[in-house]
Amino acid sequence: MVQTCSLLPFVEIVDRAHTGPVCSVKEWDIKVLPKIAKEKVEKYGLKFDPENLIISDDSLADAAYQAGFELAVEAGVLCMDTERIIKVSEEELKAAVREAKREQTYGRLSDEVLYYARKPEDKRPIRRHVGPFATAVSEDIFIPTHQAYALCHHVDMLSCGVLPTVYGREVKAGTPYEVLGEMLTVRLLQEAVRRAGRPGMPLAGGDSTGVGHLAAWSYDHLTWGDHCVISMPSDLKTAFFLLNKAAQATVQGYKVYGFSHPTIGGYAGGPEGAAIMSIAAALMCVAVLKADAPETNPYDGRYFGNSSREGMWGRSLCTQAIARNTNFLFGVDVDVVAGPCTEMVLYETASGIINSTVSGAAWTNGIRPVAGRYRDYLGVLEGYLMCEVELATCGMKRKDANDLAKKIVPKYETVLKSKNAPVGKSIRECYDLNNFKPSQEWHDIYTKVKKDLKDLGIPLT
Amino acid sequence: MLRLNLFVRSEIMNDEILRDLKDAVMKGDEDAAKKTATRALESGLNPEEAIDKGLAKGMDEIGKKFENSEIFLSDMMMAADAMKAALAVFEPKLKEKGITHKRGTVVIGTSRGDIHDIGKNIVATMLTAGGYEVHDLGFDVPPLNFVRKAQEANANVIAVSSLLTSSMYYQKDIVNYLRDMGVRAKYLVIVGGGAVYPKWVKEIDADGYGKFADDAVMVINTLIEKKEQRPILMEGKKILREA
Repeated sequence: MVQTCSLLPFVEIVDRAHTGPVCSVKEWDIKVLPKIAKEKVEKYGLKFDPENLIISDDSLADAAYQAGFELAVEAGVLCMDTERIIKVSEEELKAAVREAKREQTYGRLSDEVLYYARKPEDKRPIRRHVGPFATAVSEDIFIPTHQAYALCHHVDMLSCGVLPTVYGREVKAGTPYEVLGEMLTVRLLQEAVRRAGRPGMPLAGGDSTGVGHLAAWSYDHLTWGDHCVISMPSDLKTAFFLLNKAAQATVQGYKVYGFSHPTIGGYAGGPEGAAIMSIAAALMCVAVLKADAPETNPYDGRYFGNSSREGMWGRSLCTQAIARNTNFLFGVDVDVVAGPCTEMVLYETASGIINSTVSGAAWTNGIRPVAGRYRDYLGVLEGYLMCEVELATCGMKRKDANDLAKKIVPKYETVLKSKNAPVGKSIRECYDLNNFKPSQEWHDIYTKVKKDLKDLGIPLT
Repeated sequence: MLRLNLFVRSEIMNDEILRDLKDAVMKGDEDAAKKTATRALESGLNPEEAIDKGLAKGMDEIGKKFENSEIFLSDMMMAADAMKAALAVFEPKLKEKGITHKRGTVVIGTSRGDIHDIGKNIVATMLTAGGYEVHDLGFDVPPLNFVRKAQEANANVIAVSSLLTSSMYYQKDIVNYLRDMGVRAKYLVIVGGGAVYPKWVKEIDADGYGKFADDAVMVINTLIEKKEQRPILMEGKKILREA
């Protein structure tokens, strides 16, 4: 039987932002969304299990998917500018799932790379976005810092940092400085990948305001090979400046990376609510933002990261739910709280990457030490470890991965809960950006932790 | 005997009212909070007692439950709204007596160019629970709006959150406006959010920084009493000796 395509045209999404049911932002945040999320969590009996950081219960993942799907249909997406809800029907959402891209190429020339939908325990490699990942990187070291990540041939796409100044002036949101800054950022990134010998390497840019984004995606800057980043603020919200980006991307044919990070403890509730909110957000990124590659996972607001047990469990649940029930090019990110040149940052990286790889993510985005809070606090080696662990754990059974995760998490959990994770060192202090080598101290830490991870059972080379 | 009975009945009624006020806050029921506050006044219950032994008790419990992840942000915000609704009923009586229950007045918001507000909402709610009058300007707030609202509300504190580096710079603008308008000394400026790092506080001559929501509240509590200790930088309930 021929299925008719009933994809929602983007212009109709914008119409619905003007005509949908009225709801204030406050009402949405504290009454509408929490109520629906709570109902779905209870209906499907979802409960956080601190001993199953990487779940292997398919029926649980499928139940979570159903819960997230129903949440998406019943809630919709709130447009904050009009305070009206963009509703998407069950049929329209099913069409979005059915018609979503299951393969996509990024990059150009010899750096062109094919992304594909993965499933839990998938033996095929996961794609790797690695880099400063929205951390502010000083103008004077912007090129070599990005070059350092691009030099690793296991990195598929460069996860770009943020330029805090342009020609010495602060890049302030919504000002001409931001326009100049975003355009300079793209030029510097293109130079960085060229110097790394990877001129066609795809770039995944930061989430700037509307003017900055449009400047970066204007003629001769970011192109069809790159990832166009558009956020969906938690929880299930959008705004005109985000829909403006989506409008341009739709007309120009850019490949959209839509992301959302529902907060554990926030409006969605606990890890269960945040997980199903992540699922709903992934669906709506595809249906409303027209994302080619949604990236959604719970964020543990208590620690500014997702390496806690709750974060791990939630991420595993939403990744498997999406991977099992859709063919989305679904991504997850790994948000760590420790800083570079520390053992903790490497253990957090390892636990997070094992999780996303075996749970069936198509790609991961990382690593952002100290949650990106400190300018230039990057170590590069955490990104390299991300690649090594991913390669080593493709095809691993979820049960085995969970056993591993339960050995790794205790290595940092006490410090995580103390909310006093080590800040570590800046890239200037732990990495030689002239010769692209870590400091001896950082190299020794990396070697020590890598050996420990091998001894724990990760088949690293 | 009759007098004793009346006294006992009055005590029992007061206990009931206090319990109902606490319950209304814990359930986030604004209507119940307002009605019970009205009942409290009609029964002659001292409004300060009603606040301390009723409303504040409810918010204390809510705060503990939030800390233990038994409840979440929306529950806490509804509790704070219920408390505010009851306080609004008590306000005229307190004014009449020349009493203020307020610990201070805070203007809070997310900086221009930024729509992230969860952390800011947690801080605003905790400040309300802590006895502050809070004016929440929302998100994407231009710097002058903070200043004007602070002047209008006769605030003590301006608290600004930024998750994005590009919006963080507007925190400096707020300090600069206050200085250039000759009113810098009138307001404490507290900064926070995912983009903000401790050194930034000194760079822009702000007064305080808290990494987590409870840090921000502790910093404000301390500076309200002891402004001379500025700047105070706190992460994970520990004061940083160096930025």
